[in-house]
Amino acid sequence: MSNMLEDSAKQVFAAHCGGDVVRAIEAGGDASALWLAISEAGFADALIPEAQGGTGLHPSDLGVVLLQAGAAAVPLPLGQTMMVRAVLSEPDTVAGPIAIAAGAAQTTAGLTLRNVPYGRVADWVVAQVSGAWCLLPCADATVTPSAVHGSLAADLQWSELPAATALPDRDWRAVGALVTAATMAGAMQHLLAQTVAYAGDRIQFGKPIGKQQAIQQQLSVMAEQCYAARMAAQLGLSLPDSRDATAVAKSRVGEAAAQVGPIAHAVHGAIGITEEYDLQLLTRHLIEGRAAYGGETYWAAELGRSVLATDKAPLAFVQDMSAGKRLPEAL
Amino acid sequence: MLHELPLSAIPAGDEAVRAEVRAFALAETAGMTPAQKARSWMGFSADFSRKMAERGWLGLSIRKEYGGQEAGFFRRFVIVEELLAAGAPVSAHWIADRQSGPLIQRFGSEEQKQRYLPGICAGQSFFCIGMSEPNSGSDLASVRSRAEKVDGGWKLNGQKIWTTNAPRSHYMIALVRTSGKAEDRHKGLSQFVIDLKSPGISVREIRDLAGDAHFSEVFFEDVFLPDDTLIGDEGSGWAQVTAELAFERSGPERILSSIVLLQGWLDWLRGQPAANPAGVGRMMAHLAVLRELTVAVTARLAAGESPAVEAALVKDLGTTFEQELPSQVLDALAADPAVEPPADLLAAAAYVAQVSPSYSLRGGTREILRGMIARGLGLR
Repeated sequence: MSNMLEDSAKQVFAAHCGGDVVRAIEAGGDASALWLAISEAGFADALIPEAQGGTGLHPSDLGVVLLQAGAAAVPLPLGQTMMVRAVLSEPDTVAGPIAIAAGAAQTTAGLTLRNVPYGRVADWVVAQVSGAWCLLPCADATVTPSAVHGSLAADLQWSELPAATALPDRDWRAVGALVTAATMAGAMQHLLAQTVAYAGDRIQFGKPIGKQQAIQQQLSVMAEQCYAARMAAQLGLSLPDSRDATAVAKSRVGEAAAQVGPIAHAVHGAIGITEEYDLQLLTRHLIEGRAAYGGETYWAAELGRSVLATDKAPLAFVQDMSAGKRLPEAL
Repeated sequence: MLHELPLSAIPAGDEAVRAEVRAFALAETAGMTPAQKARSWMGFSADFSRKMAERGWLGLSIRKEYGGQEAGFFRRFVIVEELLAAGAPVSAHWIADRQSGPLIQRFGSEEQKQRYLPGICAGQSFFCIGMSEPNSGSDLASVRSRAEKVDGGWKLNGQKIWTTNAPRSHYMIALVRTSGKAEDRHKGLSQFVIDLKSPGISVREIRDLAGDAHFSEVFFEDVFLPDDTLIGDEGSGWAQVTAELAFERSGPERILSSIVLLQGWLDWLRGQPAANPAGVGRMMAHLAVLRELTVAVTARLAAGESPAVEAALVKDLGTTFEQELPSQVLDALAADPAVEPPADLLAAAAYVAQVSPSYSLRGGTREILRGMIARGLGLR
């Protein structure tokens, strides 16, 4: 199934987000050229209603773009930005990538947000400050990388509380979890293609390692987990306001990632551990994504509590959830 | 080739029967224990199957001229989901409805369709599958049961094994060798509809580790098969059996074998102060995603495609879930020795845990399915 949005995302990321670009941005380079290309393609405004000058799409339609963004290891919070811009009353006044803070804001001296995913490359950040969700400009913040080598997460610190724009009350951490699940599923899809191709090329014992049953069985498991992850992400995006569906997406995608990343590395052998080989751009995203906005156990427990609070049969619960989904439109 | 499985929806017209089926299935299973319900698609009740037929819930993909409903794959999907969720005893009609009927409709002669399909749709003709033999399991092409051409038909000698419901079925659709030798593999195999009342057939039940006798050995000694019981052409058995297995692997039953246990566990947890939300949520997340995957496979079938590799992929994921569930529930029920779970729930969990290894054997083993996926990935 091909679709214009997907083709356009593939083209933009192929032209502007190669492995060298990702590495340069992760090393502290300027991301504005990439962001410009993404904005000009219209992705950032795709969820803004048509009446306000946007494209008026549903998150379900944007799944293909986020999957491609994940596959290209796009080093920017594209999904977060799309979702936040959709609710801004004056999106034209908010330029640049928008991050969503995962943890609680500290307001003792000025304002501190710890370990914000994509905090190093964001111009804006969504955070819950004193109980209220708001959008904050990063311009005056001190940005300190907060995680491992290559990570884009950062601590953001303001000496004084910056001017904040109020946002509609919704659980923006769940939004972060949902779009992270989608880019992770895209990363896994690309890892599968990369790993299958490698297994076909790499000769050991006189034949491609992909001819060995032991490798074939591992790649089959990898494919299964990739299909489950992609379906979980699609389901979540088709029900963006359902916390249950987000819980399904983030917990199931995380569980898949816990298998897919290690299999990709196991099949590649030592080359996959190197800086120069592109595998690590994706497997690092999976590890970071699993922990961002709540891991598998957190979201599974959220879903479990929700199920236990009803008297529904298990199948009826998932049937009812599924009945409300909005299928992606063929564009 | 492995194709995408896009998010899909069940058509509203097929959803419309759900409430009625659910009410029927719940009423029919009201007096059953959790362990009885957990037998689900192994539970045999000719009476239940007849009631299904009366309501027009069998033969959904069979054409009306043969007594079917012409209602398609999604109608069967909805009905099967509700029956299995309730733990209804579907085994009597199960094989005929799922694969023998569709097989005969696709490959049988006009006369064969008229002979067999109305009984299947009426819930009166029960079928079993003659594929495995003592030395032919995953390597199905090595079957040795052999039919020799004789005047007016064929003379069959050999043996089948692991045949579900053989003593209680009217017919078997068997894969046997009609020409060449075992070394000829896929060539020279044919399928017959065997009337199990024919002289020369003997059946020996095999008891399983849970004390049930649902499968059997079937012996053929000079069994005469009239010419008009051969399905399709002589030698086309392998292609037909491959199509038949695609029907067998694609339904919602491949994720729902242990769903009754999940239900029992939730019912019990809801009355407990210390629930296990992460354990419950993990199983529910798996269930939700697997169900979307089976809906997507069904959408491909409904579109006239034959998603054999995708069905194998979903079946392997599904049976993995079905096997993890009893393992998790058993552990959760024993989490605190001071808290005694209901005995019937424990019995259901133990039963499902005992038989669950069969989930990744029947209809193609896990390793065979993963080999199919690897082929779909272009690795072999």
